[in-house]
Amino acid sequence: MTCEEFCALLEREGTAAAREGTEHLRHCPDCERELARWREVEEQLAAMGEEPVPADLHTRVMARLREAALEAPPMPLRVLRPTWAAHLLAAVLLLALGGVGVWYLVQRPAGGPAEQVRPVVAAEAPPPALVGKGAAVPVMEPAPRQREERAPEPRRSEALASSADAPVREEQAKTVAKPALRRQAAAAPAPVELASPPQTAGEELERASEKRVAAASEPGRGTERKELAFDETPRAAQLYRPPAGPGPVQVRCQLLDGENFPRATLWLPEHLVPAIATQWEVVVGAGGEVEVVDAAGTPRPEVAGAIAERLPARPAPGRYRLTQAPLPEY
Amino acid sequence: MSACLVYAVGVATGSGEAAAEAAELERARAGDEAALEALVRRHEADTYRLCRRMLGDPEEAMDATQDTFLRVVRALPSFRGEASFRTWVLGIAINVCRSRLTSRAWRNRQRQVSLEAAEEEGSEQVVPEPSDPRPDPERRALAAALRRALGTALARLTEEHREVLLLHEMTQLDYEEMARVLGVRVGTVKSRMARARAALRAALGEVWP
Repeated sequence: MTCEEFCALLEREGTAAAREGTEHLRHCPDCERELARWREVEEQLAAMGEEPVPADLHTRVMARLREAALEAPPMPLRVLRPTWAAHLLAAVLLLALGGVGVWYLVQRPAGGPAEQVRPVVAAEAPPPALVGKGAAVPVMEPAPRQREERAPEPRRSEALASSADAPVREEQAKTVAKPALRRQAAAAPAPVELASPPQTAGEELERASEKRVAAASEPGRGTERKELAFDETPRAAQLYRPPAGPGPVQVRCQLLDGENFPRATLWLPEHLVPAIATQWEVVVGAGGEVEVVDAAGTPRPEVAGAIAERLPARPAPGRYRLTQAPLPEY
Repeated sequence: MSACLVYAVGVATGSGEAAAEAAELERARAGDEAALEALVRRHEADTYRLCRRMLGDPEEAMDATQDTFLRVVRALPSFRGEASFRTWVLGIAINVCRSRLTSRAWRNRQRQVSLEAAEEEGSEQVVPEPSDPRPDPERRALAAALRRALGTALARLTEEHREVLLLHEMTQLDYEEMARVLGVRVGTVKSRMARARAALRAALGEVWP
């Protein structure tokens, strides 16, 4: 064994390299010194695991948990933060709504009452309340943390209320967004979001217009449809609500690319998702076929089938990792 | 589910503690605050130390520890006992640290502050030296110097290398547990460890010749 080989062994095995390198160590004082030095390093690293912690650690952790329990928000709050995605969604919705309004004003029948045909943008009922999994965890409900240094959270109604604010808010969103994520987002196709299919403002406008025309052509239907209540059901909020209906609890998952950037988000039944902090490998083939291998290396065709079923618009062919989506920030 | 939890906890902590922890977990899930507090007390120190070394800043480590347990509490119903509870908590802590490091990287690009500077500043400020049983003052001094050098060298590593070194050497997780925490295969963990050791040797060579 040469010194280089012993060093490679040391890097691979740590101080356990001494077992295999006994013969070499016997006549190589340099490697013997290096081994002794690395023993000291491992010892000190282990000692870091015994370092004293602040005396008030437990008090502060419990105080934070109790504080969070008292705040108990009605729903996950990531969507309320001034994030890039939330602002972009708000801007797209405002543009679409403005377009529909202008089109309606231009096209409405002369002399007809304005209330006769109401612009209908989304007909679906508000999604059900967030469904928890298993028994309730009682003591500590998720809650937003009040940070002193952070600016006050913008209200949803404020974010959506005024089209005049949109450019300013979009600018704020650009400032807040992380440059690395922005770069990745610009370099790659946009993530596939099932709960809210990606639409351009033009497509949104076109879809809304078709619905309006359909509603107008069927007497009575226009008034039966539910108008979009922007303050109650912003689209971004729906991203964090599991799909309704019977069957197993659904868990929100993500396909991460090699840079840990989420390329797709989808809801999967609870029994088909990796455990928290676990990732499964997903390969999307050139023909759109999906293969999944779990953390133990076992192929999971049922998961692949569920992904293929739920992702009609597959991300680009390549290797991804399936993981539970991070819990909404607070 | 209970049997699963007992098994998963038992793997990591030994039978007596395992049974106690599994019972605490069950009670915490049923709404017992005292049980939850016992779980927090059992794992908060490890979590803090991991965050402290990942982030380099004691005060931010305190915040990250609180964030970790807030997430633990929120996700407790979904804990299925596939990994030990400790491994699961440390996995959440790693995720919290990652997101904080990402935010910091963005902020630092604005302010030109490095993790290494934070680590050096932090190590001067708060973390007390652990008691060293060695009687020889010279050896104690050498060990203290090495510990400081290690802090600096660790701060120079990439996040990925720092993670594996701390999880393996400091929190004493085995490769299987690390694979669960990091969401990668055991083989990946091993190769990452080898690269991390090489990087640490190189970084240490600069600050502790």
